Amino acid sequence: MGFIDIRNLVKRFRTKYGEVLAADNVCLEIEKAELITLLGPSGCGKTTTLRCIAGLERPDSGDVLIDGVPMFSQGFVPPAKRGIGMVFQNYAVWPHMTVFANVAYGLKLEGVPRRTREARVREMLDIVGLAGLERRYPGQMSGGQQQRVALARALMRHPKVLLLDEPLSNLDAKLREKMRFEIRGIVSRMGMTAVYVTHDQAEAMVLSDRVAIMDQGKLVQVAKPDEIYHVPASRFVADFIGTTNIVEGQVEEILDDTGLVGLRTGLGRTLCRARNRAAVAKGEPVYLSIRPEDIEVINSTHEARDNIYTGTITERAYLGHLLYLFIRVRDTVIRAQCHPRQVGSEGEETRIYLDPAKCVILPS
Amino acid sequence: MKSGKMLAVTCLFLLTLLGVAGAAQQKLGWVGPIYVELSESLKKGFQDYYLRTYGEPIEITFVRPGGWPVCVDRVRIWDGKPDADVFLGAGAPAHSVLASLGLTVPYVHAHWDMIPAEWHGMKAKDPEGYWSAFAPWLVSNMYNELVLRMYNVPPPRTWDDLLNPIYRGHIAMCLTYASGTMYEVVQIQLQTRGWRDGWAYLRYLAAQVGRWTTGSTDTTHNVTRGEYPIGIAQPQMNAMVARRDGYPVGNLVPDVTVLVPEAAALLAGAPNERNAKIFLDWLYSMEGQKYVLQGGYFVARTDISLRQWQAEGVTMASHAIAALGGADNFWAVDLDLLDYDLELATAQWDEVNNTFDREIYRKWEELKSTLSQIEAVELQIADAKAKGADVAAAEAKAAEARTLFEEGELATARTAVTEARALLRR
Amino acid sequence: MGGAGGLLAHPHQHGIRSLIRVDNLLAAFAWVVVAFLIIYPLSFLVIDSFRVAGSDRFGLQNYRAFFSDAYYIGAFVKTFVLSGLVLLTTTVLGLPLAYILARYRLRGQTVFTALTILPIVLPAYAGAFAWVVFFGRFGTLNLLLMQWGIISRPINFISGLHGVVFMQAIHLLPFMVLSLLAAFTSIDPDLEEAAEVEGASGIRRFFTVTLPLCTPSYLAGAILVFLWPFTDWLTPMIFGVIDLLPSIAYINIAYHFTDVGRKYMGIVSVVLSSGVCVAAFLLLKAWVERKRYTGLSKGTTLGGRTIRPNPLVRVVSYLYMLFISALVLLIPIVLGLSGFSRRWVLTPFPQHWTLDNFRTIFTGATRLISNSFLFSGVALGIGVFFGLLMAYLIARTKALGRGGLEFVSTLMLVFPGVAVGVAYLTAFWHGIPLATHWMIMPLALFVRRMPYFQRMAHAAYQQLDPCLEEAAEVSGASKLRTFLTISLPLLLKGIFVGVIMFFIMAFQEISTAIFLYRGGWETLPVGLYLNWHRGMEFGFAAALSFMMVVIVFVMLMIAAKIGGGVLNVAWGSSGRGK
Repeated sequence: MGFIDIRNLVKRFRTKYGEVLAADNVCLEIEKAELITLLGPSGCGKTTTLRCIAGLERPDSGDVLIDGVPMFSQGFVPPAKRGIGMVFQNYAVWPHMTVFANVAYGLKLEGVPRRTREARVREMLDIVGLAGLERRYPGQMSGGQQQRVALARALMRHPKVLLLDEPLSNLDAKLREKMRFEIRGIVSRMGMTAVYVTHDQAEAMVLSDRVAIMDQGKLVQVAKPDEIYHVPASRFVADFIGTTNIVEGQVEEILDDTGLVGLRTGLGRTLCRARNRAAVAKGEPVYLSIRPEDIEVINSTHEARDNIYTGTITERAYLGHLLYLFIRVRDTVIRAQCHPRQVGSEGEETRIYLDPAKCVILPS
Repeated sequence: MKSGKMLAVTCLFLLTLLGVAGAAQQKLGWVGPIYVELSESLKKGFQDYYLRTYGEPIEITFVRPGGWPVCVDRVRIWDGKPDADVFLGAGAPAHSVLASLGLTVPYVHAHWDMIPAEWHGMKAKDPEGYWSAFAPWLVSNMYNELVLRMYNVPPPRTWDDLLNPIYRGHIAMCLTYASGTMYEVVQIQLQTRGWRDGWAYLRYLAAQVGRWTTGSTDTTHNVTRGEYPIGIAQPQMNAMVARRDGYPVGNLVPDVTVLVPEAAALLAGAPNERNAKIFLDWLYSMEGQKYVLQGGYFVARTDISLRQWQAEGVTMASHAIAALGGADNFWAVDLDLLDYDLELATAQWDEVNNTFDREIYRKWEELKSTLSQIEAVELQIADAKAKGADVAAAEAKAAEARTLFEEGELATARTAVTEARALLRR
Repeated sequence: MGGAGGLLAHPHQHGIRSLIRVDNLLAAFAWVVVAFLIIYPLSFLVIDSFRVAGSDRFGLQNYRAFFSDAYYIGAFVKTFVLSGLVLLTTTVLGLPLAYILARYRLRGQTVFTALTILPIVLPAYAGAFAWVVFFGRFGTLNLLLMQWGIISRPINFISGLHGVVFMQAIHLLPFMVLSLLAAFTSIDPDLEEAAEVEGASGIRRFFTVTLPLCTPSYLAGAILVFLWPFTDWLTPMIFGVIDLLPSIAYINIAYHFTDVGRKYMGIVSVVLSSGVCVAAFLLLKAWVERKRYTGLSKGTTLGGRTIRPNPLVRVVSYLYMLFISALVLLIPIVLGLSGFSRRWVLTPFPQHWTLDNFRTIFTGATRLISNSFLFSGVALGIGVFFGLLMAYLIARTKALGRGGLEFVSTLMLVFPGVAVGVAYLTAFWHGIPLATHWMIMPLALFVRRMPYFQRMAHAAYQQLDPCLEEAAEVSGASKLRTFLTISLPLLLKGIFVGVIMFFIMAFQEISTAIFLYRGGWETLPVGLYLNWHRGMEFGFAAALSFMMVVIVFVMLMIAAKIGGGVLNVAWGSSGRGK
């Protein structure tokens, strides 16, 4: 059993368009001292799930257990009694209180004596990098500083669980990147269990021990970042994380000896590595996914291997440190990532190689 | 936060203020439609008298939630558990309803005999002792001298004068059910002219009206401010008081009118019955009557000589004499009074009011436009006649239109006008 | 409505227990108060409306009579038209004013802002009387015009529906301006700048971006403006307009004498018009709110954009503000002149000056002043507590029956004071003898005026980002604690206007007070009514009105001082300390 145990969580919202399932039987176990990210497009239910953990939302059914204690089924445990800290998307720093008052709020409620309170707040402000700004009002601070106040406030009571709801989405790109590492650092230093909601996959990849991907209220894959990237469980995940080429196909043959599967795709015949051979049956329609960086552009015209196709370059996209080539093979356009000095201009013919070990078969 | 505290302190302070007051032992409560000037005068006079006679102060409360129908309704809601002791003011219809509902009780005060039983066939006190007039007045009309002069028209003298086209649009008149006085004006017409001609007269009068008001006080406002120089259905003493205060208004007691015996009565279940009786005895005493006069009302006792009071220095006496046309006592006024059938008037209340509402008030615009069409065609006929044309047929049609108008057949009347015009053209 | 929704939202496992939640207990408390102070007394009236005159039976006759009587239908339509015209006029007058005050940096803004709130300080009836003195056929303006030979016969400036529209529009202007100011100052500047970038400039931007963003706040003010003509019976009657529902209802109910059928018809028109209006308005509101603009309320401390206008715009703005100020100031000036004079009729200016009126007030009428303060103060205390509770329930919870609570409280905006007065007297004289205790006065004021405050509090709640409260809950604070330490301080600016408005509106309430007062409970407005004797001496009543204006305005200024500047207090523009 995990430290946080989400069991069969169901939450419906009624809107003018009808009922929406914001959380559809979500089950998730989160380990102690783990930082897990709930990732997904907007409206996928990640925030609802987070708010159920916080107790700001009540599920229609299902339960959340924190440290083995049920939060809903045996009487509602209010947010105040859950031992959580939370950082909100728009900071939710109280504009009528100084930084000090904001951060010290929880301690004051706990009845921590003034002296101790001051020391602890000072210490926390040091950690988040706001030393000396105790007397400021939020209105006088930048977005990044307000975010740090919110973080300090959430951490102040040493919560068992830290919940972060898109905490960086209102910051500019540079600051966002910096804060990512800071949050990661602070959380792991304090050994806290954290649930982080974001729609930014880079953020999720950098921060998380594990990533939980949600789509339309359902949890679709929970795994370590690299696994999510390299072995996506569905077309949705493959598509959502990074960039990939998706080609429709059909299982033609299963090559028992090499562990490879032969597909008939829009490119022609393509050999793929099958992760779980039992799961694919002959004749079954599937998707093939391959990342642009796994596509090799072959300059020599003589090589003859499997998975080599000839196509026409339709577009070059130069990004400085790399180059994308869009290559049309029959009716399918494949995006390949190349070294920036790769030759070939639009309209020219070129050949590409798809490494079977890097071709992933996804259920249709 | 601070403002909250301040508020609390203020409230507490005011609470104590309220607590300190209202400690008097003796109490008396009035309810009724009389003007505050009178209630203030009576309060002062009776408090003096009470202290002088009984050696202790008396606290008097006066509630006037609106005109007399509102006051009657208030007593009805109290339903035997009144918040006052005396119903002060209002004429015979209000008092007869109160008596019939058992909301007032008979009390024959010490000066009962000094109030006439009736006057020109109109009751001034109840034979069974329920009520008696303490401040009688006549239903009259009011005009603004200055404004009439500006418009270059003389004041109207009679009911029929009011139909003169020169007054068109200058008259303010009240909805019948919002004013007892206005209702009496309607009854005067119905009782003197008969049902059909009475309504015919009221239709003509409505076509003269410039403004409908919602009470006799509202009418007074409009006349004194000059908005409309003539006001129908006014308590007679209003003009007296206005003149005293220097306003250029005059009072018109029309050729036929009725008495309103502004009366007082003891409420059933009065909490301070003893004081109420003391008050009623005082109200009809010579002393009480002087305070009534000083409060801007006429006085009811038959044995009063206004000239003698004038000599005694009662300041309002000279104004009253002037207002009563030189009479020494209210009852000595020489007038052509209608033999008013109060029982009939009271019985017809709902019917007449509803008829007036539907047939006159709601059709006001239609009445005006129909009459002006009739008058226009009559002018054309007169023109043609002067030129020697044969207009007999058109004349007959126009006369028919008038008859139809008088009977309230307005649409048919307009058709007759069209026909008369067609006949004339031929 | 919301209640049913709340029930369905927790179906299976959390069942009954979830119904016994604090929110639902609070809602139950609110319902008990509403039931006792609104539903119970008003049910007497509603029952009356089903009585058949002249018998003991009940039936739909009165309603049938209402709908088959062209007069009543016409009056209903006319009242609707009046409401529409008043709303249109306040919008047309208020939009530029609010925009100037919110967006332009001009000198004397504070003074002008304070002046715009003035009409609400004045009771509508006092304003109407003052206008008759100034604009009447033989009022100051006509007399001057005739003296100067410009006209030979007086012009009718105000008598009639146009006068009513104009008077009520001036009286209600503050509601509109305050709502729009709140909207203009809370729009995220980015949204407008975005439009500017897209190429929409000036007027186009105003109509395509700024105005739509203001809609929710505009509606909050518009509902108060729109429903007002349904309760104001006195202003139309002063201007000679009778065929409006509130005036008809007043006369029918108050003056029915022996004709109970007439009384029932009055009640029917009250019941019907109230129900129809509130339903119509709530529907409209729901329809508009479907297009919710979530971007509006994010910023809590934004002051909106301010612009330094070019000279032409500045001159026009000043002229416009002066025009409005002149209209607004006219009323207290006329009242003041009348208060210090006697017998001011048929002359352009007073001829006889006197201090008597004020002497009479200070010697004989102090009781009126203290009663007014006591009743309004107590009503305010109850009203603020209950109004906040209602606003919380409606804006923040899914408590059972909150939709019904909103309906009932909006209903009180349309229910004429006469009806409330009669209902209270009927319900609380026999049986529950509450009307024998002076608490009935503040309670009646509370019931009639609380909805105004509640709407303000509700609007303030909508402007407050729920995250701020949730952050406190997560930090370990209970709901009550959260409310006291986070919500209330943040709402304060928003509700301060509501508090002031509540007090002022309670202070000048007359229709119900006139029905409920007992000897010794007279308030200033009741005194004003009683002393309006025979129409001749305007002076004493004018002096009383003038006193009311002064008292309330002084209170407003004190409040402004405490809150730090009128501007800050009245509409919580961007805090200076930030």
